[in-house]
Amino acid sequence: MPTARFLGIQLRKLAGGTELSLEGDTVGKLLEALIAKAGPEMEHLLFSEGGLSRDARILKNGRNIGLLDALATPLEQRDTVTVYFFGSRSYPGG
Amino acid sequence: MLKGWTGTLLRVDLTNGNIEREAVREDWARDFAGGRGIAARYLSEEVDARVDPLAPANSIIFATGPLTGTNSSTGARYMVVTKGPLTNCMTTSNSGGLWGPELKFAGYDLLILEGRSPAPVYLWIHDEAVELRSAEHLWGKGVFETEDRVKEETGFPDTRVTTIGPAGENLVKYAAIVNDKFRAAGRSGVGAVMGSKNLKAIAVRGTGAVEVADPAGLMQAQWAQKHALTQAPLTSEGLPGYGTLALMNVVNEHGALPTRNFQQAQFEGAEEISGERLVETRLQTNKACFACTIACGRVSKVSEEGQGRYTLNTSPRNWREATEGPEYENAWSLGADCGIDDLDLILKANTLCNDLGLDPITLGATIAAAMELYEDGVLTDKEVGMPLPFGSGEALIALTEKTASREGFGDLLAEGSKRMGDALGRPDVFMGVKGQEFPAYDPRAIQGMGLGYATSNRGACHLRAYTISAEMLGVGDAEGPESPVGKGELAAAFQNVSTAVDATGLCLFLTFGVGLDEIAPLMAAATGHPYTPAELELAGERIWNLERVWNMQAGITAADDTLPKRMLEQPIPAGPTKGQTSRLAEMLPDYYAARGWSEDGHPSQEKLRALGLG
Repeated sequence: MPTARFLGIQLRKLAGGTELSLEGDTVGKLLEALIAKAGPEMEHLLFSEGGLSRDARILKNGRNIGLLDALATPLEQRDTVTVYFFGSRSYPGG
Repeated sequence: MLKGWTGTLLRVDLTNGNIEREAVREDWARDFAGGRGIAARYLSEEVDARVDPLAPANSIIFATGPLTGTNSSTGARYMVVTKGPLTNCMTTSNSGGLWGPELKFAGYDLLILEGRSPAPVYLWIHDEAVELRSAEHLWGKGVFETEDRVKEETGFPDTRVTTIGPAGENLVKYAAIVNDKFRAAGRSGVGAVMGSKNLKAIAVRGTGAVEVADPAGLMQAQWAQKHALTQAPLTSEGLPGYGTLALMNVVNEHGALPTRNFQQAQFEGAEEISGERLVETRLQTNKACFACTIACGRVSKVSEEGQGRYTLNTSPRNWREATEGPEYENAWSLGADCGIDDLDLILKANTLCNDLGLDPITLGATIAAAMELYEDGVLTDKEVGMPLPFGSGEALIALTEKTASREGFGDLLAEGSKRMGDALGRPDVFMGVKGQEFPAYDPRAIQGMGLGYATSNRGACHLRAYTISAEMLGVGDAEGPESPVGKGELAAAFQNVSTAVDATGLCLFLTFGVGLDEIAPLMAAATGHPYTPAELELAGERIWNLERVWNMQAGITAADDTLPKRMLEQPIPAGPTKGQTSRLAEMLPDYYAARGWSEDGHPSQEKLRALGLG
């Protein structure tokens, strides 16, 4: 099964650990499995207005899925999906 | 004079002790927006670009912006501008805390310090009363003790002090200037310039206030700014909760965390030195600079297990055994880059850097380069005085102290990794640009960052074009981090905006929540000049070009806009970014074109005229 890794204490508490093995042949399916396990608060964090929250960042093997096929990004057994939140609103950063 | 400015600069000739007040040039204040800009303008006017950075003919300028000392969130910043001994470029090194606002309250926008004092002194500014005092008794003291003693001597506990430590006195090429004990103008060796002038510290107490043009308008703009900051998770939760150290796991997951002197791009010990681990085991509270509503500062202490191993000698009256930090950059340079995953040890080394007055980024990177040389057999126990493998915390602590005092092998480390590599016949171990070491993002993994490093006016720096937001974190519609497409324009735009923000007196971290659309109304209400976002961005471009022209007069050429061979030719060996190298050659022409510069990196006369610099 693919492995989901979580960054940030709140996310880890909700997920019940730093890493979880979850079913799913796409990133979207894996997140569904995560929500089924972690509950509605996880869904509230990850999704808003019918899509991924704009502050949620999902990586497949280190690559932002926004640069791949978003939630339809396919997964294989040894893939790692990293989930974290990064709410930058503006441009240059620091 | 524009409001938001006091209209007065203080000029101190340290050679003869003359202290004079001058009116700040209003046209420069308007066109260069604030601290970083106007200080660059004064430096370029008054100092020959070919000057030896540590000679009396170099000046060092401390400059605030119009929003420094106002209630605008993060309005705490001041900029140190001089020719840096690490890079031989104009350096612009920025700090927060409480010192910058205090200078404004005392009635000054800028300090211009010239010459060299015949004996160690410190400058004491108490509103209109300004004097040079002997610092003979402070020479050799650390930052923490110096600040405490200067406060006692001035008689006011709320005196604000910025000072150098032994590293600055000993002309370590990357000595920092530290204010409020833990906030630093850290990079490029500004502390060595201060040390070369025999100037130990600048103490300030001000009882005035910053007069603004439209108080009601400023308050309204501040409410909008602060509201926006509460709406952005990074400025309302991420930075207050984890500090910049939140980035450790994030950058590692992306395969962009330089490890063991950039030999790898993922660190197996990242979790141990992450923001999550700091919060779980060592964080006491967070802390804010003046007027800041983000409060990313960390107050930390060593873990229970580390109590017997590491003692933090900070200021017992204030923090007992606690210290501040570490920032992400410092935890990386003293940690992953040296192969060290002990957060207690990093806290200890980081605290030493603050007390001794060292830039932890260059220090850690230089020790990491020495570790590579040790493992390659170029350096032995005999030269170093101890074993120096990657992962050696004992060596990190010992060499930090020896570097500040230039004792033994520390004398070579004090020159930075470029000069050290050159001296040992291994220039390839230098990981940086224009003599200054990279910060904590591998430029092979994030193409735009590599371009930003290569073209930075002060040598490798993450704060001049933080394209991470756009490339790695998916803000906006930039191409992904592995692509060179569009990065020339992206880096130039980021540099202009970041430079403008620096000039205002605000902190760059603000821009995780707001942009120039929110900052322009603050500047307009404070100064009375109707700044627009476009005018501020233009000011940023003007400052950038001025710095570039001065650097070229100093001898910098397009050949210096480059990256080390390892970044250009040696692929990342493993992880998500495996196989990537920097594609700088594809990006650089686009960058020069986006800037309106010639193919060899010269700002064109047409461009300079358009910016009012021709």
